[in-house]
Amino acid sequence: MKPLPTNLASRPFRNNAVLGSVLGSIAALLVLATVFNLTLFLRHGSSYAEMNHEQASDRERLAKVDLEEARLAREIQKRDFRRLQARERIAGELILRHAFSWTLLFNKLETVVPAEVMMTAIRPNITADAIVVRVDGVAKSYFAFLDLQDKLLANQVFARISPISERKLNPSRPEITFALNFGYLPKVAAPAALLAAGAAPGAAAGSTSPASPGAAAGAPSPASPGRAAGTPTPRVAAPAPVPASAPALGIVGRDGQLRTATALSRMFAAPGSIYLPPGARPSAPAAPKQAGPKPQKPRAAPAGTPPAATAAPQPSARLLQVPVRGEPGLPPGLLPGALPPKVRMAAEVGRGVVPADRLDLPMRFADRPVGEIYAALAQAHGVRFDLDPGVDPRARISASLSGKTLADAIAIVARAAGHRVHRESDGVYRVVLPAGGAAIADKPLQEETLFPAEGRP
Amino acid sequence: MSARTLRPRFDLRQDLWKAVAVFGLLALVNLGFYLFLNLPRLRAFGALRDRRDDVRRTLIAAKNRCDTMLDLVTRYDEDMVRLDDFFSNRIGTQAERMTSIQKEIRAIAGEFHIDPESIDFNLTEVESSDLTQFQITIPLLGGYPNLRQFLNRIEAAEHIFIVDSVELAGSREGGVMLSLTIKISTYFSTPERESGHGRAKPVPQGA
Repeated sequence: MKPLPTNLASRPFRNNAVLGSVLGSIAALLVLATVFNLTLFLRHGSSYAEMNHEQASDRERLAKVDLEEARLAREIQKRDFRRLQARERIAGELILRHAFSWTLLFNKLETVVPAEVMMTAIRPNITADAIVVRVDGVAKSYFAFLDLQDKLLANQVFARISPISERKLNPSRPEITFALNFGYLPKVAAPAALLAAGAAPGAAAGSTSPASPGAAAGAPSPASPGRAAGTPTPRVAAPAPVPASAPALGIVGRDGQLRTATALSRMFAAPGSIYLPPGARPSAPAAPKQAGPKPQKPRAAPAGTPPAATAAPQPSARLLQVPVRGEPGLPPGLLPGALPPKVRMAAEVGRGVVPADRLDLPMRFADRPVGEIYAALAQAHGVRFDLDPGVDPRARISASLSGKTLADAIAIVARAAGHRVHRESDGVYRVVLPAGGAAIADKPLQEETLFPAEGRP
Repeated sequence: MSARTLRPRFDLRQDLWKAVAVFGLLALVNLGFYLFLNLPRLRAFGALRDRRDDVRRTLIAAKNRCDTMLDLVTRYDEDMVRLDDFFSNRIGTQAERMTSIQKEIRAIAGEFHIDPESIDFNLTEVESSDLTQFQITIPLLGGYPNLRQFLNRIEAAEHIFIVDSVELAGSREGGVMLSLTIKISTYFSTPERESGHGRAKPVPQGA
């Protein structure tokens, strides 16, 4: 049996959705392409004209710039840059050399030069690249020279230490002359000084600003150099009240500490002079007037050890104002009583100075170890006593040192203990037994007379 | 109902080829329009833009050169003004400063009780520059504090003084009193001197 096809639909079924979508998409793309073409066609004219205009404008500016460039080139050709460079180099070197602070250099040298070394010439060679200091000097021995080199090497302020020569002054003696080069780095040295300047910028040592010496010294009111050198009557002016916690009043001392009010007071007081607590510094009583024809020169650094042996980096007003006074350790010719008339007169003036007086320290000792007494003296006067190994610090003595100057106090203690006290350098004393140890105070080196090998004196 | 009335005006299947033909024609027109009109214009526009960019780059480079040259000229002029100020006001000429420097030196020497008659002066021309070195040799007799004070005073002086060297000539009283020789230099500007030719020689150090 054959089945009959049956289709009862009134119209044939055709799915046109897919075909219609494809045709619609193609139509849309064609429309977009037409719009794009027309837009390009229509906008090209204006864009092209605008671009042409920009190009013309740029060319016009370029022409102007070229003209300006040519003018500037002519201007540059007129100028002598080589001369300018040379002048700048010269000016730079002048400024660099002018800015070099000898004060700061001496401050640093004081910390490294041993007492047995004396510098006889210092010549810094200052360039933009480096500062090389040439030092000639005399050392008591080869070991002192080595000690100097060791200390220079250990100090970051100095670099490239290079000894040049050493010669014996006399074949039979240990003294040598030497020459030494080392680099000096003020940038390393300067921060400490700037820090120490504290609230008074520009007053630091090493500052390139032309500050007054008094300001640079950091002292509250130091006398002028002229007065210091020539006026025999020391006078400590009362400064403005300074809080004890003030960061610093001056420059760094040889011990690397900030120069606070306390340190300043101690510096002014020691050795054998005035001590007044910080913030209370009345004027010293007037010293008897001098009748001499010329004022006495100020007491200077200890024998033979200029940079190393001075306690204060800045010349202290006391050192400059107070005349020479007899102190233990000085050569006999300089002791009171054996002094020339002018110096003796200055010593008498010196006796008018208020003695050191630390109210907070007992200066009466009854059956106390001598080492303790020396320590108290050192603390009171801001000095240092180096006891010789032969000295017994436990030996007990009694002494009343209140109101005594350092010199008198030392004399009393030394007499009571049977010691001899030599002034090694400023602020440093060595205590030895009378039998041993030679005076360390440097005497001028004298060459022995050499005779011909065959000759006889 | 007849078959004619049943057929719509646009039958997608029956009029497909017509639609394809219209679309194809439109595509061809667009393509021709782009290829023969727009594409040459775009190429010309691109070339014009490249030329403009070249000009602009050249302009920028020229402006940079110009700015550099202008900066150079400006800095030169400013440096010259500063140098002129330094050499004329800080250094000064010999005619302006010679006596005042001597006065200041004498004043400082007086502060330290140095005999002015023992001060030595030495005037030398600094080679290849318009400067004259005026070296002053001062003997100083005193202690180390005196030396420090003196150097401090020199460093704080009004004029430009450069301490060239400090030398120990001898000592007395066991080294307490030092005999020192201090060499100090200052410089005068001498613009009338022939200068600027050849390399300038740095300022000599010390003596």
